[in-house]
Amino acid sequence: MKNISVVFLAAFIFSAGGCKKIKYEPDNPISGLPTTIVLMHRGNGFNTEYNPNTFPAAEYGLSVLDGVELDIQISKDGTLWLDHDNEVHDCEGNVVGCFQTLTDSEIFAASVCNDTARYHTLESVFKLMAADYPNSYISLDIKGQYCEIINTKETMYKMAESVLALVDKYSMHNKVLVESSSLEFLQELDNQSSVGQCVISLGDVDEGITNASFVKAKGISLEYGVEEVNADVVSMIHRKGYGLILWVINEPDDIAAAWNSKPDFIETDNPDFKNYISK
Amino acid sequence: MKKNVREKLLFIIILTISGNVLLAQGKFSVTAGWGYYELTNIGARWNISEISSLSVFGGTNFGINDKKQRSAGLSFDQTFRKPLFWKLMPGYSIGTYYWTSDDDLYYFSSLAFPVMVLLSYPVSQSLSFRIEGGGIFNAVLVSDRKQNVEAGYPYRGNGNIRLGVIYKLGAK
Repeated sequence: MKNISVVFLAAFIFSAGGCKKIKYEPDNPISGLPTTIVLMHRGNGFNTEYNPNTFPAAEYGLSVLDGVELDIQISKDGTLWLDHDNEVHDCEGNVVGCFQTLTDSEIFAASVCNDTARYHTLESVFKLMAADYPNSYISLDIKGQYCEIINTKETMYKMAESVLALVDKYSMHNKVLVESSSLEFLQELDNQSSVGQCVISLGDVDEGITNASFVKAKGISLEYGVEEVNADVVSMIHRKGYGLILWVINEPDDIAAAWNSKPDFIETDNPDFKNYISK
Repeated sequence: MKKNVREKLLFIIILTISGNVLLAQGKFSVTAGWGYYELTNIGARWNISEISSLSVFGGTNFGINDKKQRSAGLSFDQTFRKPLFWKLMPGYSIGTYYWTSDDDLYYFSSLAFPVMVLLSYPVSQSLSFRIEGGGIFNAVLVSDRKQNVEAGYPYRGNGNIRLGVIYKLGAK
């Protein structure tokens, strides 16, 4: 009976501590970037000459726009690899395993087809940027580790630590963004200032701001077109203390409209993006 | 007597008899009360057994403070037979609510899942008072921002409290 009384007392104390139904974000203004940075989606964008999320794609994207957006995975050895899918495929397209369950040498062995490597490390891109594109930006899309759901939390922590280690190694501070919907990944980065961590919002701006506040992210990564994003909306996001990435904007009219709303970053597949911004 | 009139009459007689039988057995109750998410509400309760019941309710805040709120819900309650102390009967309540909030800043509609404990105080065979407390989990269905000054969103988890009075129909 005493135990039941304790449960009841705890439940009523909890209920009495209820907050307002709607959480309004306090103002915490930031200025935003002076001009919008345009990133080539997956490195290659529309250019089919290169495979997406590879070193050659990144090299191409860096030469065309202000930076690149790439998807990353992590191996059993803790190395960050570029790829959209969590599975590693051999030359015939068969699944060899998942990145986080394979060693670097196993991934590399599956990677080479006709003397050409299909999988590349993030470090190779950082090395290139540090040497040839020191003023460019890179955004890392942290993909869900769905192959091994049980260890996702630990894998996400490990990915966050690996990103920070690489940023330090190549002095890429303030040039790297990370986009993720993983709370574990974002929370691991909440007390640092060298990487701009952004929470991916598949919903609207309001949900994005709330999630960013919860994980102490610096910005929100928003799919273009879910709701109208104009200069007033971007201004509100900045006033609440967050940056904004918009993706993926390819059509000339959308490019002009998105550019005029002055977000901090735009991801595009269109190599001619900047031809449309003065429209 | 025409056939359709006869059928209607028969239907009314069956309904009246069955209604009276159910009411006589105390199968139904009416409820009224206030809750943080349930708002000022009235409802009905089907007393499945002596200890468990299924309730529906609808609530409103009457548009106070220029904010229109509505709620409607379904809950399953169960009280234990043994009083916790005095005559207070402990129990629990789980359910699903739909609630909306509409003001100058936002329109929200949300689906909520309350998990509450309850204390019921029977005043008589037909009348009892009840207090419920616990947590509620929200899933936002619609979020419509009407301005670009404030940014808000419903809490995903929150505390909730509900007070109510229950009158059992047909109880002796």
